Amino acid sequence: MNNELLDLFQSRVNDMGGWCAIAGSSKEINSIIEEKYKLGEEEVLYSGRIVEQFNDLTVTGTDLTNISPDKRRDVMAGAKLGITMCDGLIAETGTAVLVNHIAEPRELSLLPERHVVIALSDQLYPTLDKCLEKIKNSYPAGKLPSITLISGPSRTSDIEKSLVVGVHGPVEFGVVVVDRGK
Amino acid sequence: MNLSPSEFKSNARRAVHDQHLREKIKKATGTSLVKRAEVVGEIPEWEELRQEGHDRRKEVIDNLDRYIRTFTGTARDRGMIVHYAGTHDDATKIIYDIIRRTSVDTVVKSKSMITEELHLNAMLETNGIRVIETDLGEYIIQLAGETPSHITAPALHKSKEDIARLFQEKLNIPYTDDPVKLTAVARERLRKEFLNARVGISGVNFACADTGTLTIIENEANARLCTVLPDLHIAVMSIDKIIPSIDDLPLFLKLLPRSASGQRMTSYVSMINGPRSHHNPDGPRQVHVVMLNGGRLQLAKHPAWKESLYCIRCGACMNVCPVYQSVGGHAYGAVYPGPIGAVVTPTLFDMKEARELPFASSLCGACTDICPVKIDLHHHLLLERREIVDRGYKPFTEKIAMSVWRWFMLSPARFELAGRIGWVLQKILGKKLPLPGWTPQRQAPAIAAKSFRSLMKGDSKK
Amino acid sequence: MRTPHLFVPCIVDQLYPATGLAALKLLKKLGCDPQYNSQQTCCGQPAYNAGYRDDAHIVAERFMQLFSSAEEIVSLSGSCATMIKVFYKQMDLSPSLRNIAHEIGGKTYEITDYIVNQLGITDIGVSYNGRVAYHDSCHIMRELRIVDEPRTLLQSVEGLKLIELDLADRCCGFGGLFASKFPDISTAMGEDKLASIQRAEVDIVVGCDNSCLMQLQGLADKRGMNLRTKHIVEFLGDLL
Repeated sequence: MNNELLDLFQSRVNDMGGWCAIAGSSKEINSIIEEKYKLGEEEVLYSGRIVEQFNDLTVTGTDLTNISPDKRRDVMAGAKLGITMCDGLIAETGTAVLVNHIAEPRELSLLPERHVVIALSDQLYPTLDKCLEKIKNSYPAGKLPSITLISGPSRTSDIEKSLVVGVHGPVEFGVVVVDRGK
Repeated sequence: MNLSPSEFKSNARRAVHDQHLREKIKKATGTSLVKRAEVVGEIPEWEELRQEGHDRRKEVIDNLDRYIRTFTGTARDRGMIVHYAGTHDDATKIIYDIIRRTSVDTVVKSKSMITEELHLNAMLETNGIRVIETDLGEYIIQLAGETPSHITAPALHKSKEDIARLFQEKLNIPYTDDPVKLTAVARERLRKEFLNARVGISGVNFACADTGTLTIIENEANARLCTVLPDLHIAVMSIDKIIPSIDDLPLFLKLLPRSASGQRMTSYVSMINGPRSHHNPDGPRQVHVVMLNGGRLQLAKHPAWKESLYCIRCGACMNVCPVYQSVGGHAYGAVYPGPIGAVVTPTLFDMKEARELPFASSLCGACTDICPVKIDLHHHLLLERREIVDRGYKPFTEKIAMSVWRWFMLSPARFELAGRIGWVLQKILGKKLPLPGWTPQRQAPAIAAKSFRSLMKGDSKK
Repeated sequence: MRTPHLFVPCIVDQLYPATGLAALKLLKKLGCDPQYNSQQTCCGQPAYNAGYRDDAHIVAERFMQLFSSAEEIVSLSGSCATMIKVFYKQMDLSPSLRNIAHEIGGKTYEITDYIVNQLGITDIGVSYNGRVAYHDSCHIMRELRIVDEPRTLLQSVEGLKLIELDLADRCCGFGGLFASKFPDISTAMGEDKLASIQRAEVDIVVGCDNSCLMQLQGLADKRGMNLRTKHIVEFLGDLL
């Protein structure tokens, strides 16, 4: 694991008004999030993709896939926290790259009041071009899903250039990087 | 304020004497410039990146026909419905027809300068469709019934007090000029609209020819909400928004946010690769792309002026321009203000109507130096000045004055004579000697008792 | 001995002849034998910037013919040097004249550029006790990229404290005919610059273009603001 890169990523996320924590194992993920937000099971939604990724992980919250499709949007809009995976982290800009995924709809990183990304340390790239290339090459031509780059919480400077965090999207944004080598 | 570029002079005069306005613009543009300098300073290869950006944009504009065909093909392969609009009227008609077929009466919309060019909101509203602007700046402007005064910071001309009074009056809330509270009000009001919306309209920052990807850059998440939640998404773009490849995106994402808002990256970049499908599991069921020509194909063929189509709409030239800083965006009376506006309004829209704009510059060149894709903005102003003169759009008296000037300059004796007449007049009239356009604001410089040439003549006689 | 031909722009000729005299004095002191051709008038820039290309070409052509045999040309204005070095080449000229334009552009120098880079002199051996600001005129700064040369000459003046303006790269609002065509905007720009100068608390503002200094001085005088401006060769020449 390149520590310099991880340090840069962390400081960039902080610059953008987000937070970034390192978990030594997948077991630590939940305690980091719980400690941060102290939310109940009903208030937290996580994607089915997380369940696919970590079979040993327990997150306090509700698996989105267990909610009937016609109710999902309302539930997401009312949630205090949405937790997703990602497909890459960019150190240079403190960015999480999310590829649209069947078990992880884009609304989950958009509608809940807060958004936390869970990433693996080997998903960290120095710059966007490297990450984008990797993603592009992992899908057949013409089958690339939509991609969202997320760097910090939603923000505006439209009123006298003063920064206000939390406009139409998440008010808070965090990244938990699982560094198994830690 | 009359919103026509032909009224620039009177609009600018009014704006310049509005101290309150000038202070607001100066503060806003100054803040942007400081932030930009910080993050641009981090990149040692910035100059090379500018050149690369220039070259990639040139590649598209030089082969625009081909790139339009390629992009249209790939976007269709991705399941998007691509419409080509030759004129502004065609574009608005196409957009209206798409909406009409859905039978909705409300659409949510994120920021798009092309829709400003189309006067889309007015047209849709005349036809009974309510358009809700969702970018905070645009929302403010829409409540005020105004047009954007800056391409990336539309409400830059408004103070927080202005906005507080506006929200109090239009949204019936208690007066507050706290930007956090004002933003929270907008969030709450607009969230309901997003969740109910069935049609979303957005602009496009970059359209990748090789993958058909529509890229939208923003900070507030309103564009994401407009393009993810509704059943139908209409992306409105001009044909010059194409870039060759998705592989060029990292470059332009380095150039644009840094130049526009002094950010290393905006909070969100949406790369839309088609409607909901087997491999793209959520989002709108239909994605329409409305591509506007609006004179751009013609402009792309002009050997010099085509460069203005390289623009990636960052707004940095406005922030750095001392003319823009002095008069603000509305004075230009055009969709695009500032240096790029002064360059593009005469060539893309109406040269006669906009004939003052290329002259309203000291040609200081700050715009050219800051442009992330190295458009030679101030030299373009110079070229357009010539064209405007050649077409006879300047007053005949000016032509005469230039001929007189030339007559004096072709002979040192006549030139000296002109200087001496001036000296005599100044001696007689003193400070009262009026120099139109100069003395009302400034003290006239004293004409020397002896010119340099006459001093030298005296010297050589000695 | 080098024999630079002085180009004394129209404004210098009629309004600021002292700048021309100072240039002669300075160049002589630096070991040159400066020449002056009294047939010269204008480089053609006013018409060029106003979009009247025919008028500009005729006046420019006269200038080129007049100076074609000169070995070196030294301009007392950064803006007029730009016209000769940058804009002549961009004109629609006959092939023979185009050659002259290229040649003349290559041998024309703005005077501080000439002193520092051609004569290789960075210290003219004078002293001044006070605070001085240098005004970057846009043409010299952005077209010719001459930024350090005038500063080098000023910094080497013993006792002189060179102060950087907080809006150093901001236009003064002159811009040739722009100043009289859009006097309100030009004035607003000049006022910003004056405010920057006031914040710097300097004794004098020195520049390489009398036209910009005329704008700043004219605005300051009208407002009763205490401001001294001087062309750099006049400033340095007076210290000799």
